[in-house]
Amino acid sequence: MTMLPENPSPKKLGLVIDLDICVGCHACVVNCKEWNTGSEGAPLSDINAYGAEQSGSWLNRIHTFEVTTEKTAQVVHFPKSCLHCTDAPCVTVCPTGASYKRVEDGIVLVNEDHCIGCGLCAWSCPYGAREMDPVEQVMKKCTLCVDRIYNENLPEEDRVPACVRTCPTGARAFGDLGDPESEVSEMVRERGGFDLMPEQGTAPVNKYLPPREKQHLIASDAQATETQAKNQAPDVAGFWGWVDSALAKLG
Amino acid sequence: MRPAWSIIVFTSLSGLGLGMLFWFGLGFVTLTQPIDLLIFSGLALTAVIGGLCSSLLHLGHPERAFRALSQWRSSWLSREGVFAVVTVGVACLYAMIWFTDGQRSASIGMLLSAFSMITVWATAMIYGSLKTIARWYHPLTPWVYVSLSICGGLVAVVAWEQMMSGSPVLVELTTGVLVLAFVVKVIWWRRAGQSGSGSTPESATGLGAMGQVDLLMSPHTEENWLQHEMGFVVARKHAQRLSQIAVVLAFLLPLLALWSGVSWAILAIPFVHFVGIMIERWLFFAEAKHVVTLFYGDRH
Ligand code: SF4
Ligand code: SF4
Ligand code: SF4
Repeated sequence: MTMLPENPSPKKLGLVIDLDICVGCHACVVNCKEWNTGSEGAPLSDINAYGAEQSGSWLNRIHTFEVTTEKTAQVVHFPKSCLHCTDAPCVTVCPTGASYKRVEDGIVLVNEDHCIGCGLCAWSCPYGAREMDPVEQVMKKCTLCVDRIYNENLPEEDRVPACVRTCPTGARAFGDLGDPESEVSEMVRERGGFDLMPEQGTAPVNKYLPPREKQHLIASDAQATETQAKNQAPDVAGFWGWVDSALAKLG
Repeated sequence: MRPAWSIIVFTSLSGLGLGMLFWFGLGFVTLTQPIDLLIFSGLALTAVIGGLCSSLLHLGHPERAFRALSQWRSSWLSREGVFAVVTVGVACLYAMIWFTDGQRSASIGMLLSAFSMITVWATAMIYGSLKTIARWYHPLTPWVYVSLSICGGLVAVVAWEQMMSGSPVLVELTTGVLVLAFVVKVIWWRRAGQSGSGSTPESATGLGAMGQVDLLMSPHTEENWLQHEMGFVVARKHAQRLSQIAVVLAFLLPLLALWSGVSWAILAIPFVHFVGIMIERWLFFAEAKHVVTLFYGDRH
């Protein structure tokens, strides 16, 4: 059913991605592919994987941006997967009902057996979070690892998305963003978490945390002020103060 | 957006066929013998169904296409499918009753005209409802599709009438419709040239508060499906020349042919017009920019 749930549960599972921590190692990308290629749906195929012009479907991608700030240019690694939007346009445009948003936790999924591969959902997503599988010709997207997070066959600590589990720096956090008391909501509040392209009206569930101002820049700033202060005539009292002013008078 | 042939043929050919059904429903078609009725409606339905078949070529799984009729409550693509099926059904009924009774039913005809234009409207809304593509996301988009469809249908009827009676008919009406469709399209082009998504690399990444955002490294070394599908770029110069060609073929030559009164020229109008519409449709897709390209270093 491609209508958005009329009475969604307050639960909104999603990710919080910390742009301050991500080092752009692509480990989450690889583990996402690894887990999801062996999961319930069709494998995530690759075309010409070892040759020129390779392509394939991936559910998570890392872009790297350069942000030119007032002081300098800063590199920001930027992981991007489905944001499990509250007002997901990809769901309502789907003609078959293959694309749907779960009532119980807000996860946006594709029923691959019903997908006709029209691609319209990907056209409607502002974030490029959906990719057509080149072999299966069905739409692929992040499942929020729905087959891990509720999977009782996995040890407790593994019941989080593969990307979250694998991130060596802990840049991805998973939780219920519909619950204001949850750890992830707390992080968003404390760090000023934000939405991507709010003007597109999708109300994403996933949030991003901004990079902090770089410590070495703040440090070098402080250092610069110090040196500057040293170079200026110091206000010393006593004997040396008298020498100083006397010399100054001599010209 | 990548101008896929399957979609260009789908929108332009079904648009032409539905336009023919629109005028057919209004009883504008002269029939000298009963078989003409089957020929005209057959031609129109071939165009409509041919267009729909072409759209199936665009699908990864055409064998599941029937499922696309299920989500009419929210999806314009689904609505398009449902209305197309209904329109084809009504057209068959209308033609059959006319054929057997020798008398056309004006009310079923009205219904046919209405449904054929609703179908065209739905086709346009598949694109016109996408907020991610600023060039399309405008209330005028469906009007462009509808006016061009009505126009295409009318020039087909004019050629048909020429064949039936050997003399030009509906010259004033056709001139008016051609000019009107041209004006709507030109207004759309002007507006589209100024349209902006309101999104930027800064809003896409949410990093605008820090400073200017530029792509340093793409996530992958080769083009991925998203870029292939949505990152299509045509040179501006190219686009302008093509839109001029589209105007000449779709509107100017048909007008000249119509007023020349030369029989073979009038018979050629629908074909020339149709090529013009195909170019117009190619541009409709090729010139459209998707906001996802902002993540790949584009700045709209
Ligand atoms: S990020 Fe894209 S695919 Fe995911 S829910 Fe939002 S619109 Fe849909
Ligand atoms: S590609 Fe599949 S999931 Fe996406 S809109 Fe088409 S049918 Fe729905
Ligand atoms: S939640 Fe799972 S499917 Fe989604 S990006 Fe992470 S690993 Fe991939």
